Amino acid sequence: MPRFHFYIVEDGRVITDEEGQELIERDAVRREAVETGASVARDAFMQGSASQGIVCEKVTSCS
Amino acid sequence: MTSNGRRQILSIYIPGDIPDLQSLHLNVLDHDLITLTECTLGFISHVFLREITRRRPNVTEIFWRDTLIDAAMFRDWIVNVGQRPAPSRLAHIVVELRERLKVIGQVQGAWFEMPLTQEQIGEAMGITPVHANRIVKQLRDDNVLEFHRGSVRVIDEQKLLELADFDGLYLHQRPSL
Repeated sequence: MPRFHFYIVEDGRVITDEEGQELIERDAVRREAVETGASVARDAFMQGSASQGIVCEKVTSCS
Repeated sequence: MTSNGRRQILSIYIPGDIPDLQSLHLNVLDHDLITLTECTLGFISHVFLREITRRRPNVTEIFWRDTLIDAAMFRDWIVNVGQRPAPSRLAHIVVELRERLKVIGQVQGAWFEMPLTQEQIGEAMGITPVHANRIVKQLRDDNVLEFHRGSVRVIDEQKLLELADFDGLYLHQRPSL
């Protein structure tokens, strides 16, 4: 099963995801990224700690 | 658990708690209970509990009080998940757990047990595991808390309490019976 690592980029600062998650469906990967992005953005924008955020995923292993 | 598989952790029980006292009067368990670590579980028969609660009103009052405190903790949990930003949410959960563990003598030195995975921390806070990972890192970088192998260490007590927005009243730790 592929393991996906979601990296968060906030105002150019990269937060890595060492643990990652095993996900099968492409839709689940997208949903994870979108939900993470939305909730990180909610916090960051409300606190004014970031004005721009990106969540990107990277596959590290397939078996 | 939602129909699309999202789980919300609603409470964390510690040694000495009775996590399903409600099953005495509600026949169907409407939620799941899972263990986070190896546990020794004690079982008290419903027949015995019914008998003792009928014969001894003071025991009944204690159980009732236990259930009411459970409800107070659930109310606080809802406020936490619904209203606080994620870093405060995690700080609040950590402080609550520590206050409860203190009562049973499970906080010695700087570290105490919080055996939740990143995914479970996310499920307790109502956020994705990736967001939880970010919060854990942020609290470490801000010198508030450090998580390591199922344990947590408070780095800066003052910062933690400010962030946690914690008033332990709802735990009702002073016995009144």
